[in-house]
Amino acid sequence: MTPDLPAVNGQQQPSNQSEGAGAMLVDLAQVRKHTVELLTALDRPPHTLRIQAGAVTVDITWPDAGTVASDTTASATIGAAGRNDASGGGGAPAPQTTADGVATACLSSPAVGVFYHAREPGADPFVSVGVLVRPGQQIGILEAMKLMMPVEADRGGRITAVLKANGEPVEYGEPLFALETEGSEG
Amino acid sequence: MFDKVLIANRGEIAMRIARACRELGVRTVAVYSTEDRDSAVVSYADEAVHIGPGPAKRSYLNIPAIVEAAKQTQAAAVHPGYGFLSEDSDFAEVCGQNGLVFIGPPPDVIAQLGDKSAARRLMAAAGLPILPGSHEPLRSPDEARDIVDRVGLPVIVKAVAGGGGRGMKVVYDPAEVLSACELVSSEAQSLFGDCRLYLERYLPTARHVEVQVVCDSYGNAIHLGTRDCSVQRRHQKLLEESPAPLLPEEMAAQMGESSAAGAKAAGYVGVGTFEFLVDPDSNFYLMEVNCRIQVEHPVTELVTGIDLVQEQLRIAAGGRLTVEQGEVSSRGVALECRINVEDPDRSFSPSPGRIESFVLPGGPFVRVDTHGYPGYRMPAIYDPLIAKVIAWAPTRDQAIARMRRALDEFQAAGPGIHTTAGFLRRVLADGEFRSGSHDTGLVSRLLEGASPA
Repeated sequence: MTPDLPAVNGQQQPSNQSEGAGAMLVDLAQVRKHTVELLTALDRPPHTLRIQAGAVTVDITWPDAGTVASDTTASATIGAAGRNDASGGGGAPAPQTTADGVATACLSSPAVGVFYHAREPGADPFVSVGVLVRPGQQIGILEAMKLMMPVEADRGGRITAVLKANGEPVEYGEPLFALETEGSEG
Repeated sequence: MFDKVLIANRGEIAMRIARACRELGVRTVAVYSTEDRDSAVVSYADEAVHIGPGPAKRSYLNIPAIVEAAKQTQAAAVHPGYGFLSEDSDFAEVCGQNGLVFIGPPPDVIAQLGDKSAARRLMAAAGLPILPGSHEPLRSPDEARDIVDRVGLPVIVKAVAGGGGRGMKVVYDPAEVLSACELVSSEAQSLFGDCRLYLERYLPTARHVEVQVVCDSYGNAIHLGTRDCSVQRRHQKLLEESPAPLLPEEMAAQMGESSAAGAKAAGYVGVGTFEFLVDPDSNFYLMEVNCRIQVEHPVTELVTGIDLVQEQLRIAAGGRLTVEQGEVSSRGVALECRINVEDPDRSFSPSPGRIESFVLPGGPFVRVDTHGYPGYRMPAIYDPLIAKVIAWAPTRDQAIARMRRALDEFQAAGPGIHTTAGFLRRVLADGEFRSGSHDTGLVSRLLEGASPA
């Protein structure tokens, strides 16, 4: 997985931005969430990804081409990732490892249904951003034909983004959470 | 008419249904497995839902996934196509419980006709001729022997829940009756979850002739004439035509009328097929009733001018039949060739893979129903059917000539790809087939006549 490393600028080093304090006001968690969503929606890993949060600029380059996607409205780019191609395939997409050995991956829906974050309305969610999950740990509930099925993590890691809202319909294979898997992947 | 219909199937029939919906102004939802994510219907339909991984048990046979997909997309009705859940009475019932219209007969009718033994009883009571055999599912080996003594050999042992050419065995030797029963019973248990059997006389030389019926939910039933499906290999149809050749007119009329009467007696709603065997003495016997649209429905469409899938949609939406029996007329002859991705030189073993070059026949009076396209990767885990080539002409000879021309134009090539097109050309060139006097033994005679390359 080491070739095609996405170099994520502006996500972890906001001080790189010349705008300084103005850009710092943008919620870092939001940027991180949208970045993960965007990376998940791409059909192959990019060479570089530049995100400028203040005036919202996204630049993506792939190794074999120049700048392929450039859009001044990040939300439009993210929204354009259709529901059918977002999942990409059956299971979770292969983790994409960054230079410091941190890989991003997804926990995907095992079936078609309605996804719930918590055991019951008002209860605490099973997991949230920043939580470390173990393989087999329950991460949500899927309702299909009035049957409530536990959804379990098929891999371990730290949750970096919640990609499906509570009560949102999901398809088979759709990403539910993004997570970082530390160290070398198995 | 419905606003939106979910198509619970794949392949060419999913495209066929989507087209009928589009012509009626009905929006469509395709469902697909991971294996089919690049399929034609996924891009053709207005919406598409990924319902599961490749294996059909977890996708196209997964009732909760399909019902959830219909709810998420607010589809009003579900068209099951053929195969998969099309004759599953539980699925039809679950659809109803979830406020979805199942496009097909009511669940209890599917259950009754799907039980081949119960169907025999019901249809015999409705006056349809059935082959001599058991009237109830077999209870003991002694009973099987008694029936064999009564009807004579050969007999065919069939699974009560059987279908699609599976779960049956022909017995010629009295010593093999019991072993055949055991074999079919265990096969039926694993295939259909039902090990019950029945027995009937087997006709070694017979023609497979079927009648298309259409019924609305107001008790009206009509028939749309006959189809001959005698060109079969191991009970799998390869080529069909309408009307059945060399069938005396009064006999065809009698088969049609008794089928319509049988459908009425069963409380049938929608389109259905009554399958018969016709023996060399021109006696006909009902084999089974199929509660779905058939693969070979286009030949009936071409000779009658009636769009059967549109009829299914109209009837399911509460419409009445648009034609009366007296208005149905059959013109000319239509043939259908099923082109499978199989290698006839290697006992028809599947040869899936990427189809790099895909050229379809065209020209006058030729129709092709397919989900293929250049670059399509034919999955190995589903039906090998890649295209149905259908041709119409005023006479049978002209229809055969037109079909030969169309098959010559057909091309599907890619690494490891073989099709049955060449073998179908041999059928069309065969003297017995051209005379219209062939029976279900034609394909094995053709295969025995030529040693594999």
